[in-house]
Amino acid sequence: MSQELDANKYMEFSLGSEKYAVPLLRVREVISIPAVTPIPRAPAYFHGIMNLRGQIISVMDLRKKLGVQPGEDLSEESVIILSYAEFHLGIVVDSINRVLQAEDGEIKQVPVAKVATKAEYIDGVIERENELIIKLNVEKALSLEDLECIRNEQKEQSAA
Amino acid sequence: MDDFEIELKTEFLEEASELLDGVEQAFLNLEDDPSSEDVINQIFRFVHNLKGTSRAVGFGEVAEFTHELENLILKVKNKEMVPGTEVVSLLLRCNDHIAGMVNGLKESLDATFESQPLIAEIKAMIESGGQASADQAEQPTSDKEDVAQPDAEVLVTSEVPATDVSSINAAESGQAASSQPEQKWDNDQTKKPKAKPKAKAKAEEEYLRVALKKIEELNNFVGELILTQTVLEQRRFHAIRDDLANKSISQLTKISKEIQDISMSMRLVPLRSTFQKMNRIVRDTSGTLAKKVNLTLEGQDTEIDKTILESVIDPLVHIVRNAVDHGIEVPADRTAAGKPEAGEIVLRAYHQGNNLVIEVNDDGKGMDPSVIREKAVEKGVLKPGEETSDLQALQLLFHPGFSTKEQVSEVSGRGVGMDVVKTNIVNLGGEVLLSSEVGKGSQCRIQLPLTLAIIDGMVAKVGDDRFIFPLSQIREFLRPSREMISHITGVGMCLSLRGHVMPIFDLSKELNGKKSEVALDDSICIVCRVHGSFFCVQVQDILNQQQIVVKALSPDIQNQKGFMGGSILGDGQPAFIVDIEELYRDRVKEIGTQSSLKEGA
Repeated sequence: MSQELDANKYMEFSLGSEKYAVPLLRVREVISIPAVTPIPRAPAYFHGIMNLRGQIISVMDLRKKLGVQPGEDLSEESVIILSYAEFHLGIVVDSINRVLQAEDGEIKQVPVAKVATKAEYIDGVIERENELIIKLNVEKALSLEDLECIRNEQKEQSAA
Repeated sequence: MDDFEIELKTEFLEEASELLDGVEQAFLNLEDDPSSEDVINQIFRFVHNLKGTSRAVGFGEVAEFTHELENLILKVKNKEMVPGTEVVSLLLRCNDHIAGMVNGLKESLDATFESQPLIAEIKAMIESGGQASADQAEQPTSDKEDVAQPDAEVLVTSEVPATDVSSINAAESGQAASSQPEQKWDNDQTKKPKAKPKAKAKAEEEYLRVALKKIEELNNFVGELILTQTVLEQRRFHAIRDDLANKSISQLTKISKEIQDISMSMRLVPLRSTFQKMNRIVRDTSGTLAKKVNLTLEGQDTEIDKTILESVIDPLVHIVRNAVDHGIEVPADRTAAGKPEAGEIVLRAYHQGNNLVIEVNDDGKGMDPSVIREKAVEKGVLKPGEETSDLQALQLLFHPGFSTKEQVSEVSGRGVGMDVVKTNIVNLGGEVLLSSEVGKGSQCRIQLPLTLAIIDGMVAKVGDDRFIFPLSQIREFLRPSREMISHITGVGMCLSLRGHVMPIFDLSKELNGKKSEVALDDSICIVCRVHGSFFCVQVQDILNQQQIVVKALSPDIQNQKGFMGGSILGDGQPAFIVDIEELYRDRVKEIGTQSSLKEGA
């Protein structure tokens, strides 16, 4: 019941000067920047692995992956723990802004002028108070969509 | 269908899988001893139970089928029919059909099945009063035909795999708590006045079904508990000056260790149900091939980690089939060789140190190393003239180049080759070894770790980071003196140790991407061995040695080569467990061939 209500809620966060949003149902929790162990031979956007109450999860730096410059004030830097069927994943963000509600109709398609390949992981934009909030497809952004477990999850969702 | 009904049905299906698992053995026993009232009673109770409950929860088709089956068994029970091979075969197929239905319903509660042909057969059998069938049963050929007709078994219309497979699946899914299916039956028996006194004593232990996921969660938290407790323990006399607090911490240490032992043992299940599945495999395989085989099971109560057990079932089925198919000779050949007509296969399980060993022994014709060598050369697996010991030659059968295609028969050709068997077992951290004596028989020995969850590890510092190395991969470690180190152009730094010269790999370069800043004679060399050649890796320092709770890495980094998982160290920081062998396997191979080339020249 509460799931249906939450389906239209998003967590808004900042990466540099841009604002992004991910579905709230994906978010398991938000934590302050944890101590991480670097991952050998992994691409630079792999921030490291961390201990989340006994579970080892990887933390990714979205800014490095998307090529966004971190903002000047990093005092509110946090990690959002996202939850998938078989694992959890942390993403580093500049700051958490708020939870916002957006009906499906409010989410507009990306402007036609697709300049960069970057547009692939933008699911749409939400306009609020004259600002654009980018609805982010994290799986695509982090090139996780090839992982078998994510594919299965998506299959199940489209079947449901 | 409302939630309650769904829950009821799901629960019924779980229970049915369990019952199926428990009753399979009874069906097989029936063949050995058709006059055993106990066995017939057990089967009758099973079918009767299933009929009742399936009707109650609204699975009309299952109820209808089991009703007909019950009629047939009643005939046997009332001694109006002799359970010859044909009757037993039919009963077994009925058992398969029920398993197929249960599995089909698990996938979709609305699945429908084509039970009529089998029901017709049951009716025909009842009408003939088993008379005809009892006569026919004397002829081994009719039995063979029966077993060899797989299409007759695949009556299920929904997407259910072939019955043979589905019966294994059904058994597997019910396995979590069904590892003691017999006890369950014994429980039932105690309610009946006729029960044997022996059963009563057995029934006293009670069992509870728990989801594996819950146990895994528990194990995770127990791991956390141990870590937290370790921190407390370390700080005990530094930070805490209160006597009672210190005593309590010491008590806590003891209790946590106990809890850890118990929670780890909860993952262990006996091999019994897996072993008993082999009865069916041997029966069906030998039936199809017109061979006579006796299967002996030893050590069925030996326990093993549930996850390992599941991954070992397929390889084991393959090995057992192979033993019947390629090992045991046909009765005529056996008699000619002066052996008893029926072949013997012994399946034996036992613990050896921290390992579980499963042996599959047969007294068949054995494998001739020279024949294997010839074939290996033919297939390009072995270079002509390459020297191999007899034992090494046998292991060539695991080589992927030994294509299974040419060996496919109705029985062994299931798409799983011996190479897959080996890969599966090696992936579990185990080993498999074939040995044989021509004319006398063969043995396949599988060695598996008891649990994947805990290993002995060594924590070492590489650059600024800490890594865990499994002790099982470490031959020795030492701080080399200057004289032991030399540079060989083309290979790099080398270590001479008691007459062996081996390359030294800089782990820091591999893992941190930068060369180690510490001089070689100031660091520690870990000596390892891959493909029979030694090599060593350089680490900065060894910090400690401890039991490591292995945790899976999340899927996004799981494919990173060279890591077998992660773990959390005493201070709460995660660390990678390095698979040194995997990390350097390719490189050592190169060096290995180079040196052998040199020897050849």
